[in-house]
Amino acid sequence: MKTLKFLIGLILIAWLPAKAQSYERLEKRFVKQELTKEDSLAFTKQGIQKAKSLFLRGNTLYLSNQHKPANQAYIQSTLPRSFQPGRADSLQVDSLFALLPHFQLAPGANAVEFKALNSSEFLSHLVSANLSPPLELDLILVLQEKSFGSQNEKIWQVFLANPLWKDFPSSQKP
Amino acid sequence: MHENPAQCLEALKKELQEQAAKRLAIAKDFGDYSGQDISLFQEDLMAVCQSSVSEKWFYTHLKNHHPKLPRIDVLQLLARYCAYASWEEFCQRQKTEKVGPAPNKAKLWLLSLLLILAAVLVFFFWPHSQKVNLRFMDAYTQKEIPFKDLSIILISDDKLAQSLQKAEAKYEDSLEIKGAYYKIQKVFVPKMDTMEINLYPDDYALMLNYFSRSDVQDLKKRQEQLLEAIHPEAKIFQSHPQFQGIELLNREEFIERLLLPIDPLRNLEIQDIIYREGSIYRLRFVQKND
Repeated sequence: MKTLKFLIGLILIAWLPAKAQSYERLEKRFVKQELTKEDSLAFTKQGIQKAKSLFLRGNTLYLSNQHKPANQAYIQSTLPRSFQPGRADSLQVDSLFALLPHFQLAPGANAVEFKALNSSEFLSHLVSANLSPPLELDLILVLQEKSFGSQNEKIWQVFLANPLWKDFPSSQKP
Repeated sequence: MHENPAQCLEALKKELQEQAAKRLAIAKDFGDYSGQDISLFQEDLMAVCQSSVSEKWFYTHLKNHHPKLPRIDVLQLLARYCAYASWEEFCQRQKTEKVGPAPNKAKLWLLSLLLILAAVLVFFFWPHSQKVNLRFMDAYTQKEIPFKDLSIILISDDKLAQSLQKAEAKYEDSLEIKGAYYKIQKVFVPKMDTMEINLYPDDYALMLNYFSRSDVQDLKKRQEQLLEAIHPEAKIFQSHPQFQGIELLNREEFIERLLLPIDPLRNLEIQDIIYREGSIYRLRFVQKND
């Protein structure tokens, strides 16, 4: 048994480096000039995670800290970074932050889900699958500078934009 | 063992340089290595041996001459990079090559066969009682975690689980390491004098604790600790099983992710870290269950 474990260990040591992805290869997606369909799908995946994270912070975590104003203030300070600053949708975004705690998950749902739909103008259009009222967001993809210490690099970044929702049902009225 | 460890170290440095030149196509002396060359060497060392040296260490011991012999675990690491089983084996080889008369091809074959036979015999019949010293490091800060802060269980098929009473194990032991705010890790102990084990902080548990106490001061302290542990120019990649890289974060964005107790943090799994000057320079993580 010990010999078997030793051999497995040896195989793992030899196999893991081959499996390791190089960071240079990973970085290529973010700096290339022309994006492929797979790149767009990867960035959409990131956008969906951003939308889910926005709800988890602005709703679930915010509500679970109801009697801890310092925590709530900290949570709210993290919300704006999901959106690109300086866009025309800023008033709508501010309203969304205030209303996020009032959205409700459908009965029986454990986590918020978003569907990505094709969009002619944006990277993708997201529609929540299990929120009341349904929440819609656009995903924008921009080649924008990001700072890494003293270095600034232009990389592809995904932001949420143009939040849209229908009227809240009377039982959920803010 | 070589009569003079310093001579043995010089021979290892020479072989290390040849090995790096062969693997990385850098035809330079270590003294002429640029920052980029050092970074490539660190990455390759990590890929081959699952451990690396800091840039500071490279400058101190390889770019310049340092009177003191490096730590034994680093010597083991460098010897393994040069395809030797250990530092001791490397020095023994040096001694054999120096002392022995120039053997002809047939003698070399015979010697190799004998060595292989001896290695096989040693492997099967050597009493497996040699001790391996264990050192536990925080994967973010690269600071040593005191043994008393951890609980280490010896995993065994035929006995009840045993706790280790000191930071020492035997070759081929399998261990399960737990700490209050560290993720559980299972390791297999290979043949070496000192095994350095990186433990990953359980950020979710830590943040849950801070948020439950509403301790903003502790949160700020953690933020400062992470700022110190992560290089200002760090690039953090979120990997995805289907799409490889899906997000490139800077230090501040990654720290923000580590400071909120939500599901993505609970499911965050660090896959690989490269250190520079003792801090995290490159990191790859994946969000499980996504």
